[in-house]
Amino acid sequence: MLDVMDLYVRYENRSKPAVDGLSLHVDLGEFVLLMGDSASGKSTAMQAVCGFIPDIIPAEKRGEVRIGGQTYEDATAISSVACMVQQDPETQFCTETVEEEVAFGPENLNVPRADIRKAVDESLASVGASHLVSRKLSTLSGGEKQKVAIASMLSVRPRLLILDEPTSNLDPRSVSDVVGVIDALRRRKEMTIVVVEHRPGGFKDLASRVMVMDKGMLVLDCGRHDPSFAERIGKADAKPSPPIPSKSELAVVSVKGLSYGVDGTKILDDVTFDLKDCAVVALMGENGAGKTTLLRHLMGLLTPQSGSVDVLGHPQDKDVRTEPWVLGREVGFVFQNPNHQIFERTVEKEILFAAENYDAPKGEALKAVEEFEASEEVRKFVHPHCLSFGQKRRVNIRSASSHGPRLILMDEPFSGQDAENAEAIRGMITNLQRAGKTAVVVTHDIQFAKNSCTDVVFMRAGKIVRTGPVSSVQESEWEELFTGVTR
Amino acid sequence: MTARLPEEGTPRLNPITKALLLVMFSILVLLVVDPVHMSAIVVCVLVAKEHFHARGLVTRGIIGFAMAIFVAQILFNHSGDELASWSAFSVTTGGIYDGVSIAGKFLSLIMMSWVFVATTSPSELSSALTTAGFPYRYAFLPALSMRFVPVFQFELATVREAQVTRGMKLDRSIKGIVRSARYTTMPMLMTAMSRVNSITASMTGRGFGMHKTRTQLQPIRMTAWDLAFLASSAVFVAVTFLVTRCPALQIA
Repeated sequence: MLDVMDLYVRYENRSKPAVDGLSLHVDLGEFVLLMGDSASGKSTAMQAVCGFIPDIIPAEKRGEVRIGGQTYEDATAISSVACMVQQDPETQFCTETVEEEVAFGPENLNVPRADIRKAVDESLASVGASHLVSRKLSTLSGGEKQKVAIASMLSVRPRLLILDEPTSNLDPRSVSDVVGVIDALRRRKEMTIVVVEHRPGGFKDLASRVMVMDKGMLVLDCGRHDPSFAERIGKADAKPSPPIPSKSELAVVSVKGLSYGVDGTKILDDVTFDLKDCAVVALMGENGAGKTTLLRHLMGLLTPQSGSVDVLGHPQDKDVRTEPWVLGREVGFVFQNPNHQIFERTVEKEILFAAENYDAPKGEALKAVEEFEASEEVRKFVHPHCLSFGQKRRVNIRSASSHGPRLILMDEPFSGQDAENAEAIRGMITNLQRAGKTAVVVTHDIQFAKNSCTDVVFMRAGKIVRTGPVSSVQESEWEELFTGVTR
Repeated sequence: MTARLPEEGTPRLNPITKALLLVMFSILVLLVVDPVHMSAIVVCVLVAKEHFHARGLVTRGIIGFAMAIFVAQILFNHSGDELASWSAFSVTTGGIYDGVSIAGKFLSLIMMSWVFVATTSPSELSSALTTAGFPYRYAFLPALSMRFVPVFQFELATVREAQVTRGMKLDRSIKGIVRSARYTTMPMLMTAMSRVNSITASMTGRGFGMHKTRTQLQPIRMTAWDLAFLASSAVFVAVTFLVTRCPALQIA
């Protein structure tokens, strides 16, 4: 079904190729898990297979790609046989409603109107999303958006479906839903499926083969029954370092009866909890549970509509407000998207940015710069936007913490990170705690919470459903806390 | 600015009809000179504003700016007969007439355009244009542009928040604005480029541009209701124009 022969891709202004001599063969009906660390070339290779490189993303491309035994002229021609669901479904929607989005492909292919209706209905049914047909895309949850993104590709009836990290931004229940949808497609054996992932997660039981890329090359290609398969899957799911218990009883954060809503919808509902000093706190819950809104209140970016928030002695309620830039001296904030928080032209200036603004002692900040990168050339001359996604995220964390804040708030720092980068971020969080700081981390990663956090705050539909030490949560409770369903 | 859209099930005009109505009434507003007629138009526009619940900071800003234009004309336009005077300031008939005319034109044009944008789905506009035979590649431009307005607004707000949380005060001085712009341009540019690549890949990857024409699941055609509305509006605009140009019916 898919034959890639000696594929070479080098982006403009880059000396090294992103994909270097890749050759692979995938049969019709196969389910392949394509793995590898960040910048290993797996997404680039699949973008080249779909023709996005070089048609949309400029790059030097050599080699041959055959789909169903045929070569195709450009991305538009390939679209009739192969489709790619991108990492963030939100960025690929080009219409307003679910029906319009799923109909978009068949409309472009000049499918007759009656057949478009059939394609829309069948595609939505195959991902279990028929009930969403008349909904606006902006009202969907993360899992629902991913299902619609998959349905919008299925309606073109591709023979090759590529999914780029389809579960990276989802909570455990949505991950389970999306894996179920992909499993159902796999069972029909009507198309070849390639899933690009850092970690096998729920796909490890579905894949018939696993391929691993490193530095642009295929370094492993093995079937389900090959011993290397289990070895590779096990390596990617390796357990991280153990947690360090919190040493202090002093509260750094105290939230009492906090409520907040938008347009009549309650996002936070009577939230009350305290956080101890020197703790690593996992703030968990489904997509839309109110985690980010709560974090923004702790940073002073939102004003409580009722109740109060006290962060390091700075009180806030509907009448008293502490400006975020005042809180920022003692509280660091890492936003979800690394690109939104990179302002300077060099790595060094970027990490020193907050220290300069607050006129803080630069000793710790300069140490953070050196810890990030030993090479002076990289520190002083490389633009932070030229770093990899994982490196940018590490720069973000150092930038938010280098001026010496006592509390660091992080919004999904592990999103889209490979195993190596996730481990590096985990290490940074542990080091912050060792330095006497408190970290609050919004995450869906249960393993991180279990193994690297001291405390947990669970939210559901704007309410706190559980707070306390991680050790107090029973093994059987984790999933139940997420879904609210008792097993 | 927030708005209340028409309820589901109510008859809706074709977006092309609405665009043509906007053009007709804009021409009418530009041609009206009589302050009484202009005041009547402003009252109609404000009634429409209330009907569509146009509220929020931007609405208040637009009305405030129109008021500022009116006051500036009264204070500094000394044409016509003097009605009253206080030391260096005098109120004249010319100042009042020009104030009503200019502020009314500004308010009416902005609010009518806003009502069009607030009540027209970008996808429906694209669909209507495509159905009417407009090349679909270009018909999609307004839909895509409008689709990304809230996205970029959200991203701009996030970038500003990221600056503030790292100690950059939002200073309203020239120096502060220049500094803010310097640190806002690059992150916005990076996210915009990334979004452009994603959306282009998504559209191309689903055959956009493969054929010269495309079929539509729900084509939006002009109805008899649209034609009747257009015809009656054209008559109304023509009559209003003639009335406003009739010397017997003009105040000034």
